[in-house]
Amino acid sequence: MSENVDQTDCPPFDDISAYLDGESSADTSSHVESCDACQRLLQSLRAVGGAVAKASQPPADLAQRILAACQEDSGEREPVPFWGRPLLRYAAALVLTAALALAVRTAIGRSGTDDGPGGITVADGQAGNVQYPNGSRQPGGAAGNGEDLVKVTASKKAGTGSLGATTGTRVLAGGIKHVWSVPAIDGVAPVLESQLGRADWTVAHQEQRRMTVRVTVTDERLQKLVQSMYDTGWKLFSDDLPQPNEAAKVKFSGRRVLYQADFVAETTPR
Amino acid sequence: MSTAIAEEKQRNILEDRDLVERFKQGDHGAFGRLVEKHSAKAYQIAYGVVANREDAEEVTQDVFVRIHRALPKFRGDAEFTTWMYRIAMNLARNKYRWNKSRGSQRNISIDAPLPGSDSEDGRHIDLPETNPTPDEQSRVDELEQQALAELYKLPELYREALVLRNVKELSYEEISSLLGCKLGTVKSRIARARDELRKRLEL
Repeated sequence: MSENVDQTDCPPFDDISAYLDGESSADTSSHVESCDACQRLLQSLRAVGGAVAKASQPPADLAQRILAACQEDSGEREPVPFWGRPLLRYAAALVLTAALALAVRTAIGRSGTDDGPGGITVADGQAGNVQYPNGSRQPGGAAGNGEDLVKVTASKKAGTGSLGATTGTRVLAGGIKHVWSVPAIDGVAPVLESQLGRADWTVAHQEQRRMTVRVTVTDERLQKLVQSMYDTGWKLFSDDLPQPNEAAKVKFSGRRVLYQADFVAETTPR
Repeated sequence: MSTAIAEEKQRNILEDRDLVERFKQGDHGAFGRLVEKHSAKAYQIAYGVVANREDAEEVTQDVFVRIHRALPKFRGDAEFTTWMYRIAMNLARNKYRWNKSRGSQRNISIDAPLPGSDSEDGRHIDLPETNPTPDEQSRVDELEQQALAELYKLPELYREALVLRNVKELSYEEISSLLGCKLGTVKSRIARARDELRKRLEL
């Protein structure tokens, strides 16, 4: 590119642009610094660069959000402890069952054929695998005393341990977009007003049959908002979290997220 | 490059190396410092490529999540910033092209009839273009908005070169390495981008 300025001895435009970046030759530099036309051109180029740079400033809390995302990611990828690995869990269950069966046999052997109370106390959820002293699969009576007593404690229900707390839940990322079908566009604002503070949402676009709203709230608040919109009877046409009735799938971090909802009226006006 | 700028740049490089080493030795605060130092630059690259704040933020988060995963194995063949810029550029380009292939998320068709509705026909809904919120609008004045709008109309090659140039510390040589083109090409693309913007903005 050689088009340029109003003086024929001025350097090509590429060189003047490079001067702005400190990448020009000494000859170009000495000319530009003493040339009014080049200086005017530089001024306009600086204005362009300044406008672009200023407009692309990141949000103030960007670093915190990044660190939270990294922390979350590393938490999800932490190695599962050996007792949490599926195969080992099955193996452990088998060993426990075998040990339990052996213990039951031993207990039966010791207590003979008595139908009395000497027996086994089995916690809820374990009875199905246990042969009771009375020969049935039903508890034979009150818990017995000391020596002959085998106690089985209830195991944790699946999904409630530490593993379940980290798998299956996700942190909401920013920039979630949902499409909602609503009976009428006029009914959207009143519902949002009842759920959000005025500073939390803006109408980005509105027409007779559609409306785009941007919301900035904490992830937990957003889950509640989605739930209440769903409870209002609106239909959600997006699979991304947060979803109504699925709060358990979201790991709430308390950070604010951007949410865009596009509302479309259900019926076409005649 | 002036001596002062070169010295500053060298100090930054040494500090980055130190932070990377500290992180490898288990100092997680060192990673926080790297994020503080460089997240704005990654965001600027992403923003310049994907053209909207939400996507730029998402890309920037993704950049550092990947860095966080890979840093323990980072050998330091390249400087940390070069590595980071490359990841940011690649992810931002992926996002931009993905958005582009989806019509910039501006047209969403719903083929199935709405549940509970009487209509049996599929419905096609053109959603409005993404506009800045009032908050965003207040943050950038008219010239800046106009500059951004024009920036995104530039051909991708020119826009990327100018965006990278707007990130401080990146020399033409580094930009040429990131974009995989010659030094003269970088100089030319940046100049063309500036010239186009200047004309379109009537500056």
